[in-house]
Amino acid sequence: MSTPSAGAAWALGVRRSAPVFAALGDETRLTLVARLGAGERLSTTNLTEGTALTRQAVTKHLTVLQGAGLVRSSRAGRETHWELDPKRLVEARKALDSIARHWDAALDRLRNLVER
Amino acid sequence: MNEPHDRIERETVLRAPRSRVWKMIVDPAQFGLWLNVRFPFTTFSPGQVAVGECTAPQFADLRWEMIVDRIEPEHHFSYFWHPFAVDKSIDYSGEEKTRVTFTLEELEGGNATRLTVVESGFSKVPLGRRAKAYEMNGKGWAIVVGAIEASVHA
Repeated sequence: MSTPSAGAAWALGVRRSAPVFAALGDETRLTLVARLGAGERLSTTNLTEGTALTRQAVTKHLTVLQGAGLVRSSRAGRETHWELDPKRLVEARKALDSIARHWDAALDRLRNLVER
Repeated sequence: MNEPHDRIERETVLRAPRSRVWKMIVDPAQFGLWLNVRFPFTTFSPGQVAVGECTAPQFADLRWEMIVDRIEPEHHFSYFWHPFAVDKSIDYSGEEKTRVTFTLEELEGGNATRLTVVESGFSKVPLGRRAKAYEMNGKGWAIVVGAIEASVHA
C-alpha cells in the first residue's frame, strides 16, 4: 500500500471478495470446493454421490459458488459439469493477507512506541 | 498461514506493562500514533461514532470512522468499521463492517503484555451460522488453499 491507487485497488479486492467469503461460509459449499479442488471436472451426479443431499440441493449450492465466481459449469449432453475457478479464491486470500500485513506494520509501530 | 478464511488474528508480546499498552489503545491521541489517525476528541466511549482524519501520508485526506464497541479497562477494547475504506468513489455504508478486538493479558509479573488483535467478519454471512459451519468443519483456509494448489497444479 505505498500509493493511493495501490490502496484503492487493494480495497476493491477486499470488497469483491465479500461474496467469496460468504459463499464459503457454509459447510456443504466448502466441501464441494474441496472436492473440485482435486482439479477434475465433476458432474452434478458425481458431486451428489456420497452426500445426504438431493441433486437439486447440490445444484443450488453449486449455483451460489458460480455466482461468487468460484466454479464454472459446462454442459455435456444431459449432464452439467463443474470445475473450480481458482482466480477469485486467490484474490480473496490476497485481500486478507494484505489486511494482515497492515496489522503487522501497526503492531511494529506500537512496539516501537511502548518498548523504548 | 492457516487462518480461517474470514478472520485475521495476530498475537504479540510487548515488553511493557499492561497499563502502558492499554493507554496506547484507549487514549484517542495515542491510538492515533500507531494506527495513523487523528481524532478531535480525548476519550472513547461504547457506542461512540469516532470520526477522525487518517494521518498516513498515502491516505492523508481520508476520513477514519469507527463505532466503539466494548471497553473493559486493561482487558478488552473493540470497534466496528469498514476495513480500509480507502476509495472515495465508493459508498461503503451498505456493506457489513468488520469487528476489531484488542485483548490484553499481563505476563511476567507485570513486565510484559500479550496483545491479541482479531479482525473478523469479512463476509455477509450471519456470524452464528458461520461459527456453526466452522464447528462442523473447522478447516477453513486449509481446504481453500488445498483446492487452489491442487487446481493450479492440475
